Amino acid sequence: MTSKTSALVALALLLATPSARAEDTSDLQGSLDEPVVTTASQSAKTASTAPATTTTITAEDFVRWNITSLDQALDFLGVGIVTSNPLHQVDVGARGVMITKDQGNHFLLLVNGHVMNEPLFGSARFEKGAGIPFEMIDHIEVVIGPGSVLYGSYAMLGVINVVTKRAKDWKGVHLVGEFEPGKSWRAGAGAGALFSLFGKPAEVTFQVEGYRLFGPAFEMGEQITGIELADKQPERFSRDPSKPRGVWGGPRWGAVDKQHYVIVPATLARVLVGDFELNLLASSYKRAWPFSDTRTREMPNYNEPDNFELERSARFDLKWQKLLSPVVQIGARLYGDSFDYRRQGIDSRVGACIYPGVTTCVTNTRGYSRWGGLELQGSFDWFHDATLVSLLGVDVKRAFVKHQSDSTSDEDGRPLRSSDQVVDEADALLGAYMQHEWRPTGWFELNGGIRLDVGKSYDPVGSPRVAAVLKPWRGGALKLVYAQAFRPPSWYELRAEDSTQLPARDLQPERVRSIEASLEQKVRAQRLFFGVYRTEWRDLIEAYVLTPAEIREAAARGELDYLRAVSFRQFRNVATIENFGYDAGFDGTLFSGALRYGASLSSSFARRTDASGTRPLAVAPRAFGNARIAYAFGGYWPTLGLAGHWLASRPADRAYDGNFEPFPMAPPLFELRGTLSGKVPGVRGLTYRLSANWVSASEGPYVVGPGQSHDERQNAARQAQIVSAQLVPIDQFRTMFGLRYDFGTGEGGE
Amino acid sequence: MLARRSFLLGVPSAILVGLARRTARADDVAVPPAVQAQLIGKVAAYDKEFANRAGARAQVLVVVRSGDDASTRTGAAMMKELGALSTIGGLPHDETQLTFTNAKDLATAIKKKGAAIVVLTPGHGGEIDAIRTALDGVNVLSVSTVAEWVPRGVVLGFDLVSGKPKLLVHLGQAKKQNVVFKAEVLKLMRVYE
Repeated sequence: MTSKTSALVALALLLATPSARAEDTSDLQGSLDEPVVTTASQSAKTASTAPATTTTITAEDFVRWNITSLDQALDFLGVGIVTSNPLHQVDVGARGVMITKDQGNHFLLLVNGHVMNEPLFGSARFEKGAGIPFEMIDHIEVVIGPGSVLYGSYAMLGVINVVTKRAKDWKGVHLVGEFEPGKSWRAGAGAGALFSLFGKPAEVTFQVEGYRLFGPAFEMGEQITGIELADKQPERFSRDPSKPRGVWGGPRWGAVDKQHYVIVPATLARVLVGDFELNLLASSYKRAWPFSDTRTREMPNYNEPDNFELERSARFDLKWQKLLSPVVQIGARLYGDSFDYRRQGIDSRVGACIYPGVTTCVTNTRGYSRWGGLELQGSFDWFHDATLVSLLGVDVKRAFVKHQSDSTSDEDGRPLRSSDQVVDEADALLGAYMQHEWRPTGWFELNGGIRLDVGKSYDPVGSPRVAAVLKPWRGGALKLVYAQAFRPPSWYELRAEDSTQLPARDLQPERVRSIEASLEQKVRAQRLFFGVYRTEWRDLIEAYVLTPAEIREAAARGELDYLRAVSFRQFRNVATIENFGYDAGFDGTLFSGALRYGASLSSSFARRTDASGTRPLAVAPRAFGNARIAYAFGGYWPTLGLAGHWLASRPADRAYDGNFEPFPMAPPLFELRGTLSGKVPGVRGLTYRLSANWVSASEGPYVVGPGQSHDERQNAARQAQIVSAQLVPIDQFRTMFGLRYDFGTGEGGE
Repeated sequence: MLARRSFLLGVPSAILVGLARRTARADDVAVPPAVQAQLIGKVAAYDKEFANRAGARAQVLVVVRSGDDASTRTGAAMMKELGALSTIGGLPHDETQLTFTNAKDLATAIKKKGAAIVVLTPGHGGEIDAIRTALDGVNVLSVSTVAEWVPRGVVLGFDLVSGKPKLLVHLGQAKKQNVVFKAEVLKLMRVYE
């Protein structure tokens, strides 16, 4: 018998043993380990009965496996969900679909039920820039699959709800400090208290934290970019005339040490008084990444300290909930958000800064979105015993967005052109939804609902969901779910235009529909999950690159000046996606919860079809998974945690339109993280974390630098030598040391 | 000037002192009744005295407060969920709903009914101290649907921590009510003395 077979037999015996020993608490442990989720149906349910596939990631998991951001949590501990990091905004995908550089607008991100996606780009952040003080997170509920039925737009791949701690779990004062030598630091302070206000029971929790990434300095490979077609001189990538020309990266330029940083101050406060709950969030996210790419179309200079991107947000959310009678509950939610955006690119290339007497252009792109609304909700328990419960809601929102891009001379600050990419819109949105939950018996549950969304820029969209949950035997749950979701075009996609970007026409919302079936089997403290799905996407919006014939036609109509650029784009509904596959997961505990472990594996067959044909999706891995194990020795002994995640090889973002040789594929990636955590002896309330992280791959699936495509004709004219793609570097090894001090916590907090 | 400064310092101080009076948030049922019922059914088996107390058939009293909507709602749900369990602590069982009048009458009803488990629904926050005192020496497993009542003297309760159910136990009161949990299950509980 091979070792693999032996392990499987041992596992089967472990699962099958009918432990009749009175001391065996594994069955009870299993019940205590099953998460209670609210995101899928807006009512508290165990994960196995929720009308969607859900995963819960807890604050304890963060400590065991040194998870310090949402994307890490999803990669190491999620099921069916994966992220990819181009060194700035991470891409988040699920079930084989990842829309690269989508600004996170295919996942709906919530914090305590408050929507974080903003309407200018639809953006939401999942890396440190999410601006959610991490120690305050109680748990994260991850719902995979279309989720517009209760939440409206953006929930195409799923919904991620970050739930913060209540005061009972955050009492006292909490200080935290973390340091990654040569890479980053993070520091924070928070507190929580229970009290009485105006005779009502009340509580407050808050935290403020700061994060700073300052390394590593990446060595970029050399790219011979040749001469500028505009002035027949070697291309410039610096304001400094003494810097090399006609070349980007490599030893002549040295490592990028000034253009790779992140600064995130963030704060979150939650106040509950009687039937009211107030959430306040504010954060700023400033960053620079060590290369230009297709998204930053200005192609900014190399290692330029003044290149940056900045986002700031402030949000409030006031909820009120009241039980009017044993069968009627009503609630209201008043919310408001402000989001500011700024990007500055310094560009010394003549082709991008073709103004007389100007050697360097400073391009500033600014935008904001402000929105606020009121959501009213009511539920009715028809038979007074939760057998049939109806939920009705209406969400009215008003949004204002503004965006523009301006170029000035670096030498004297004078404006070089009139503003472009101008967006200035006001929108009114209405969402109305209803959901019925019917549980005629303990072993069958049916959930059906629909939401109708109406906006200024799109026709009314209906998003239905029907889910049936069957519990035919002990510990088993079968689910069948059909759901639809949508994403309206962002205001940037709808309205932005400039000399190389045509205004969009008749842009329709993206839509997805999905059918899935899953089986979950709990055997004492062990839980197995297996699900299959099929999804269909249509009207996928992308920046379409016009063909030469289309350019000529547009020029003939006077819509563009083809002398201004060699490439023109326009946001269009360009593609459909079809995919099917499976998600599998396993987790459990032994020894009264001292030993915890889990693993997941997802594989899919996803194909995108557009005018040029059918092909796999760029950046999205066809298969990925994770595994973890941790043992808590107890007392002052440390907890040992080991976690890893894996992604199969995947095509780079420019694989299908860059004409590169060889075909650019990112290698398979395996990331392994070991963590030691525990109490510091002799100092009550002081805990530590030590962690080391290793990544097997040295590069990821994003083409970096000016060599975004290999165009033979253009390269011949420019004497450029860009043939193969240079992929984004990955920081392969880092260590972390952290301390946390909790005091004044009373009995529950330490 | 000094008086103004005193006033400026005094007002926030008074507010803070006022705020600092620690209390519990009102009667949150954090863990869904279906999960609470399931946990009651399992935890009872780890009470060494449960079988002796219950006899051949376990009697469960679900206590509701008249006129309290949350109590009525939770009581109805608990009656349904407990009734759906095949066994509680390995025994067949019956559920009875009881409207609370006072702590003394509750203790009397428990004895008269021979209840092995009494479940307190929301709305009894003001009576918990009296109930704890009245149940001293009464052979019953008292269960709270509200987590905050366990530190105040209800033997067993449920909280939601990191999105997962957590068992809470008041060991001092357990001893007074002849509830003896096995050591193994205590490892899974947050213990209050």
